[in-house]
Amino acid sequence: MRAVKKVNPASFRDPSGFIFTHEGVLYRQVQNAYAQQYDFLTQSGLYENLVSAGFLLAHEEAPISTAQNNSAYRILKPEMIPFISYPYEWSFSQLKDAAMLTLEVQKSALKKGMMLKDSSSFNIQFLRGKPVLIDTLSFERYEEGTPWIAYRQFCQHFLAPLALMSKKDVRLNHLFKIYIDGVPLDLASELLPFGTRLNPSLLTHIHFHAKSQKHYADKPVVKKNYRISLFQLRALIDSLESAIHSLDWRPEGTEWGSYYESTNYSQTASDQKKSIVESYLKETGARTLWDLGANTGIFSRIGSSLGIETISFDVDPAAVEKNYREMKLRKETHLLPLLNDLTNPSPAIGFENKERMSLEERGPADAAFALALIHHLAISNNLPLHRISEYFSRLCKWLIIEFVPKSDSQVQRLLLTREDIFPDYVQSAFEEEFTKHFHFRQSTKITDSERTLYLMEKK
Amino acid sequence: MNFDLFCFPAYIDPGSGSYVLQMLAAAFFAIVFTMKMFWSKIKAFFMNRRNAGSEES
Repeated sequence: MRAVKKVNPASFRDPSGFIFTHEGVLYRQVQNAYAQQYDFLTQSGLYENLVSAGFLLAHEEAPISTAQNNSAYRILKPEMIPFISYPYEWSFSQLKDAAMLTLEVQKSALKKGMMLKDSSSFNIQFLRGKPVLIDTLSFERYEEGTPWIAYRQFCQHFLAPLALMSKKDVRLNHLFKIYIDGVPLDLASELLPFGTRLNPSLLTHIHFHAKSQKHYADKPVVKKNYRISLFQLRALIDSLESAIHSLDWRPEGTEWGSYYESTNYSQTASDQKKSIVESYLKETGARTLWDLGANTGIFSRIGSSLGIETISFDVDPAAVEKNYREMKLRKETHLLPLLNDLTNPSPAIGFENKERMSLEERGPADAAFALALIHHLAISNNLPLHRISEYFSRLCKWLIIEFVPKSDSQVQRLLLTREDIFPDYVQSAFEEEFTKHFHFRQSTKITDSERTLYLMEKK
Repeated sequence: MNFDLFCFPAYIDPGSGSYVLQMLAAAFFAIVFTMKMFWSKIKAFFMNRRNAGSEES
């Protein structure tokens, strides 16, 4: 029987090629129509330059017999990305680094006589702690005088969301979930504070840009009359680079900003918790780990330092930003901090809801941590224990979970401002619900606290 | 080199308004860019003179 080749449902916009999977391996088919562009990319030395700089995902050429159809010019087998993430899951600095990478790639391409024909933030992924362009077919031959086709897309995918996150509210990166082709510039212009009009780059690339789009919305433009020189194009890119560089956001004054300073753990309990978590994790033999409520990633680093591909999720943009900055500082290569709200996880979006995967579709992970998390789900968010247990069993094969009882001061704090309507939030009920989906392998009570750690394996 | 060989239709819409704005913005930022380069050359010139002066003394 012939093995099934499955075209990736997110790969249909660009006629240059597409992604498909065959026998569990991911390939990219380069279409005949893109042959000369592809040859120029490799023969000009641009591909080699970008790959050696870590800007572009490396690939090897696979046998043409793997092709989906007879319009294939080449079949590429790209290096695997351990976890696909999306811009609405990135912290401010992650999106900023992705933007700077896109402009670096564009500058390198221009030096070799090519340019980026698209600049979607979804073409950027994080690999070994750094952003990398994954779309090898994003290049086309540059002809002197041609404007940058992807200028609008760059402003919508990078400049506008970064300006909104920096100047208005960091949570506005969630607009990516609604607008899959980036934030509409008229919306960004309306939301940005008046002061941004005093910044020449933001005034031009966002506010004037939005007005120009509105003015020419129903007017045809003879594009051959609009030409810009290579020098002007470089100047445009330089101004975008300066604009992005000047945008900043500092994680201060948020709910979790000082979480680890205010936690009720003693040093002994904290050390003991780390060592139990590490021994449990080693027992699972996991190669992938999701830390579901990671804060700034203290426990995630137990996994990543063991060489386990670790995704460090948190709901708070400040915690994710701190985690990412630390990851960069320590040059960590097995950790990826990401924003995710477990009570409303990343959905499947795009055409047919198949272009961007939900969190669950990207799993299950070999192991997951749910440390100091259950009380936030059950008490702060009223999630029933049986639903939490069932959902966790779909996200991972092994679960390392901490039960925090009502008598714990952190839970008491949560109950200070609300009525206790949670008679079933007790350790015996927790164990009963989790037994339905997991085998209990180990459990340990943490010294100097009322909390218990469990190692569970999915049934 | 025959550029017709490389003519490949853009698959994303660059947008009419974005096209026009890009041309105007590129013209404006070319002036800014020229001034930036000019300024960095002036700075480099005086830095070199100062360094040369300090080496002589």
